[in-house]
Amino acid sequence: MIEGALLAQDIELLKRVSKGDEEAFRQLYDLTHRKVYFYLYRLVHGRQMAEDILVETYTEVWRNASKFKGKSRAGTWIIGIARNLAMNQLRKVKVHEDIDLIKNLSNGSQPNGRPFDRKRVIKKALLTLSTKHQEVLDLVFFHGLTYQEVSEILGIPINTVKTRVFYAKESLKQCLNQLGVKRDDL
Amino acid sequence: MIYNPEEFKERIIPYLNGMLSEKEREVFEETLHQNPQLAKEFREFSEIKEVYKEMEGEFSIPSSHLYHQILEHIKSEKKPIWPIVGIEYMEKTKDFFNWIFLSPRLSWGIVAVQLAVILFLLIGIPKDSGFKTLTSKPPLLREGIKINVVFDQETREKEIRELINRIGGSIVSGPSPEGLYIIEIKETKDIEKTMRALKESGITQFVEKVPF
Repeated sequence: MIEGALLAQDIELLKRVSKGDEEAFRQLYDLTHRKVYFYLYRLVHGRQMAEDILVETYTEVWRNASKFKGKSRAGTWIIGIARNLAMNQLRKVKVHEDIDLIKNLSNGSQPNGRPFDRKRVIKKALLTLSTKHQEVLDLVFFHGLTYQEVSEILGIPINTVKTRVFYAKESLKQCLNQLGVKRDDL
Repeated sequence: MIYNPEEFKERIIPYLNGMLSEKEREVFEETLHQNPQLAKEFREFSEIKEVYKEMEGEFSIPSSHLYHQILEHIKSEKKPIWPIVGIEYMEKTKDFFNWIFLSPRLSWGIVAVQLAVILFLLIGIPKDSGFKTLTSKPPLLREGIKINVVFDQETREKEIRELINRIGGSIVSGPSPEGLYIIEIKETKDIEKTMRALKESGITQFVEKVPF
């Protein structure tokens, strides 16, 4: 019920944007840009590139607002647009990931001698995952999207999303093992 | 009631994201208590979720100038912002054309119109179109010079015969429904003089030598 009401709000907002309503556009931007930016930042691993793509994404949203049919939430639709633009950009620029920092953490303590911070290690380990694994975890955990919504954004079947989430977790586990994190779970 | 391992695994993420119904949540938690292996799986995902929560708090917000940059981008395109009524009208027109062109009705409509045109061409056009010229077909097997002549409607037959006698000609055919006579004169006659005599008689509307 609440989900339906939110979707109706999104449709109304996008409809106003499609008619050139800048106030509605601002509202939409305020509601969604942070998550879209986070998604882009994690995908392209760079603030500048993420910001450039964010600008491009919302320009596309302005242009194509009339195409929003309300099959998913506006945020999901915008992330889909952002993803396409980011993927195009990533094809042009190869991103080099710096994993040296992660290697430094493998001794179980931080360089400054602070006690071992498990969450911090997991965060860094997340960065070593392949783009597709990191992306699927971002979408389900950070954005809180359903399998159905993730399937629409990535253009893959729901079952593939489900298995990809589990493979991503397994991959993270392996990475943590390599880093010397010894525990049964994760 | 508890979930089997597959059902349970499918629900871990929805559970962590608060998307399960109350009933599902109860069954999920019951399964969690009864199956240590699944509980381990759950803890692993749960820990990742915790990390993401923490990351959300730490994450810097994008620069505030970005929105203005987006607006500049949009305005630099010089895309006309149509009046609301115009946009609605355009959308309706677009929908209409989409409906027309994407619908199989159009293809069948074109086929039907083509068939109708073909049928009309085959059987519909009368052989006699109703348009005629005053130039007659050249009469065969005659030796003299032929002249097409149309007389005034009020001209009496007597006047016509007198004129024809005067130029030394004879009627080869006519009058047609259009009032056309074909008059023949001997080849030895001066055609120009005869034509002038016919034109200046005051009772002709049209005089023309029949082309061969």
